Amino acid sequence: MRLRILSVQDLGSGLIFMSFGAIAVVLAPSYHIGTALRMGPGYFPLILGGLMVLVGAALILRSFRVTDPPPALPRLRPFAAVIAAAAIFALIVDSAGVVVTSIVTLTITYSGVRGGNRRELLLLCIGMTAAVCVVFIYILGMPLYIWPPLWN
Amino acid sequence: MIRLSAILLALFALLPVGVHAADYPTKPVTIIVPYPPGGTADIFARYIAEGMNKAWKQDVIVQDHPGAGGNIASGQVAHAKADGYTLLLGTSGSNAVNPNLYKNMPYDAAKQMTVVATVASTANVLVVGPNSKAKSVKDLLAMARANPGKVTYASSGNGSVLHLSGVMLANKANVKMIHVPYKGTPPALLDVMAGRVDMMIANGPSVVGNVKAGKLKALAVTTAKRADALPNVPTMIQAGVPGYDLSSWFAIMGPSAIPKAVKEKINKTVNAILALDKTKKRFAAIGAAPLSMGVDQSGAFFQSELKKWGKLVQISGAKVD
Amino acid sequence: MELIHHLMLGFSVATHPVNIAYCLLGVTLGTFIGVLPGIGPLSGVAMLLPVTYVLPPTAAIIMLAGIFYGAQYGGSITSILVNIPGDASAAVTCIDGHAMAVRGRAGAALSMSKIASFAGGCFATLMIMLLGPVLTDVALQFGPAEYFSLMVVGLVTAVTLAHGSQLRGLAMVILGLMLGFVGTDVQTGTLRFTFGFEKLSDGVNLVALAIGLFGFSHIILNMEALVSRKIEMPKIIGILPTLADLKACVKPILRGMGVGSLLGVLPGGGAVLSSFTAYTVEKRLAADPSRFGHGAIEGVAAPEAANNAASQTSFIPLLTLGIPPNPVIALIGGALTIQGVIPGPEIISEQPHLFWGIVASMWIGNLMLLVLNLPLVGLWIRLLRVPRGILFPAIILFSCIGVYSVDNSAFDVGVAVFFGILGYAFLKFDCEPGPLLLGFVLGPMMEQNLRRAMLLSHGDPTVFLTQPISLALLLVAGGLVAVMVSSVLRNGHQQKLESEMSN
Repeated sequence: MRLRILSVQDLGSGLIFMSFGAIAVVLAPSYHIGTALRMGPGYFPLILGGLMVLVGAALILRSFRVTDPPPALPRLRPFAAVIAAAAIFALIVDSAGVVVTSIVTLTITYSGVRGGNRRELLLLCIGMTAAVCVVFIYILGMPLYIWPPLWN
Repeated sequence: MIRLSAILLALFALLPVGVHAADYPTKPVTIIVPYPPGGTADIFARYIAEGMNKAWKQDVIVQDHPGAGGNIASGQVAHAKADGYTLLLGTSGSNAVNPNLYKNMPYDAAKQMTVVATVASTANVLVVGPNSKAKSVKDLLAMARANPGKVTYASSGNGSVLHLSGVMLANKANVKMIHVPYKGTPPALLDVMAGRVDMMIANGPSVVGNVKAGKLKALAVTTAKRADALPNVPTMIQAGVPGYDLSSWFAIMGPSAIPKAVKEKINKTVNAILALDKTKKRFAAIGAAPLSMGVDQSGAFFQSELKKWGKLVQISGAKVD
Repeated sequence: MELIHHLMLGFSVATHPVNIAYCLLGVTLGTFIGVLPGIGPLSGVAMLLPVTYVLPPTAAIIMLAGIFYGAQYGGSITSILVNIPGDASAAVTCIDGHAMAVRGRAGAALSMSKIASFAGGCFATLMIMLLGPVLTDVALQFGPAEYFSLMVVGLVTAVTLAHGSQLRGLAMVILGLMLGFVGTDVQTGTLRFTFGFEKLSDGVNLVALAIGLFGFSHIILNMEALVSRKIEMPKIIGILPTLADLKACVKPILRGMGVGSLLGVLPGGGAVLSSFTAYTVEKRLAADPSRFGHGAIEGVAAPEAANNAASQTSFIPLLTLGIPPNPVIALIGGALTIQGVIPGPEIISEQPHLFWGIVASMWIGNLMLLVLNLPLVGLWIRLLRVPRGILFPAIILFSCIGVYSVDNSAFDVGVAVFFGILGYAFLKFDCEPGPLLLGFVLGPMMEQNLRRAMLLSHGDPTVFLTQPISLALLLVAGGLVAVMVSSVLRNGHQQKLESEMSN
């Protein structure tokens, strides 16, 4: 019997749900489970995790029976640009200061957009970084370093 | 030759420290608060910061870094440079209880942190709902003895100072009570008011208003002396629980390695602020009293507090892991 | 009669030039803060708190209150225009609001959201004035059993948030519930699913979750569409809602106001829960629920009325009991305390000018907000014309800073990245983020209250049925489940009939 995947959505989401459910079911017993009348911290995670695994399995099975129109193909560049930009923000913001972090984040995100010229990027960086400094640090008083604190 | 250069090097190393202490502070000081803004710790931090700012003519910035019961901020300060420019507004809960409560701490409290200057102590108040049958602590304890395991007490969280205060009561009075933890004080107080929970030992500032308006009945304060904000409420000892003396404290803390001279300077300034009449009034309004100690006394105080709360945590069996 | 006297006192206080100035400043800042993705009223009030220390107490609280409810006006702007919630309470507005924008009706959506917000705000102010003590009593009636049952009702309706596959919607709700477990168990102090990350001991940050799940994922999707040149600039049809729109939104706004006013008073309720609940109520009651998710204007009006109402009525427990029902109000209570005004029951009697001044300033503030925001709708729409190359990087940067600002935590931005990746996968797999967010908000409260109710009843499970309010709520939940199941069965039966007839 040849199985054809009729619904990428069901298969993909089913796998995701099953994984989360499995993690919960595996870890729940290590947080004392308790009884129905005196529920421990592991009680609900176990039940919901189990439910999640079942639903995930149901979705995976359904992916071979019910058809869904296939989703748009993912492209690497926009995904990588946004995720990398935000991740790098998280990694450097505390040590690099707002100016450096803003420029880096803006530039990486910008590289995910099609086309684009150096001048637009430059204007973006200068304008946005200045806006960020004014809005967040001067007006709202956020405790962020403008310049890398190592320089002090 | 080597010895001479070693001595010279040592002298050079000492020099900046000596110079530092005399001019401390030469740049802005940061006080980190382990709780959200607007809370009691934040209030004290800003008050002290204002006073420091006036005395030193330097910017004293208050930053709130809540999270993990105060461990995130405490860990941050414990690992910061020990030059007195990064301080913590420590509290009994976040800095004396947590090291005993948490299995994994981001820093070693006994070795890496110390109290530089105590700031205030607040009494906690035993409150019951307005419709409660208990008119005194003795009534409550009698109820608890007659119905072991049925009387409930609320707290702002597992392992919190308020929880442990309840544990101490049960321990000293030799009764068995059920602990009902909440996420924070406000929802707990609502259930006490409605009579769903029998009592709570809550911190003074959060209940003073309601006690005065009759929405809550205050049966005792946890300190050895009566609270100025509630002069008619007996202390636990007066109410029949001998040996009960617990309070929440707030203090300026920092890495233990801060040079002694810098600690002295901070301590002197804080105590000067605490001696003002204005301070006493402001603190009393929120149910707190200024707490003044010298540098060495503060350090010893911290170590003894760590042990005291450690014992209570052990008795309560509470843990976070 | 006494009420008129109080109101006159209030207005005389609120119209004092200093208080008017700070009211204006507060609502303007609030709108602005609401627009910035990630920075919501909590971060905004927290950051601006120190500014109020030098102000007289009345001006301080007027300004902070203005920031709070002003943020509820501004939060929907980015939700509608670019599908990024300005704040978690505006997340549900993304669903139909952005769908309307895609169809060229951004103007109508934006205007309607302001009108609805205004209505909600005014209604809530009325509630505070007339029913303050009554609503306080309601809050006192809600114990753990009642909360649990309320959450059950919320949960049952959560699945209706999904406009696609119901099974996937259900799975998203469950996943949301599970994500709510991450953190420290209130009852026992056990750390669950924190994987050694210290910051996770406080749970997953709601704002990080919302921005990552709704925002980052959609930006990536939009950038993809740009790359494949599939994006079309929708022709913008009009700035104001049509008469038909207004007529259609009357009942949703009324229901939203009611829901919001009630839920705002309950601790743990608040703007987020209110907006989601109002949305699901509308979808349940609509004649044609399939319109929701594709640009139903009721899906914008109801939540917006609700979140504004909730943000204002949440002042009631603070001003009558000194008990803050949510973290923003707790902050404002702290600001008052610093000023020497201890929030508690005596505020109304000992400081009537403060209490009634705030009430009066809420009227004034809402009016200011309507006047400020409505004309700006045209300006906001122009945002859609900004070159995507400039818009997207700016949004990502502002979102990152916004998430960071909640707890001054870079880790939270990392959490947003994680949910951005997950959210992107979900978008590709046609799973909607709304039900997940609602499950996430409801889950912890449900579990805590269930276990607490059992603790207080000493292990007696019948407590949920013996308490009248709890029983009533559970019956409502049961009824809803019955309706849902029967409609699924009927559809299945109908399909079977149709396929049999066509054979």
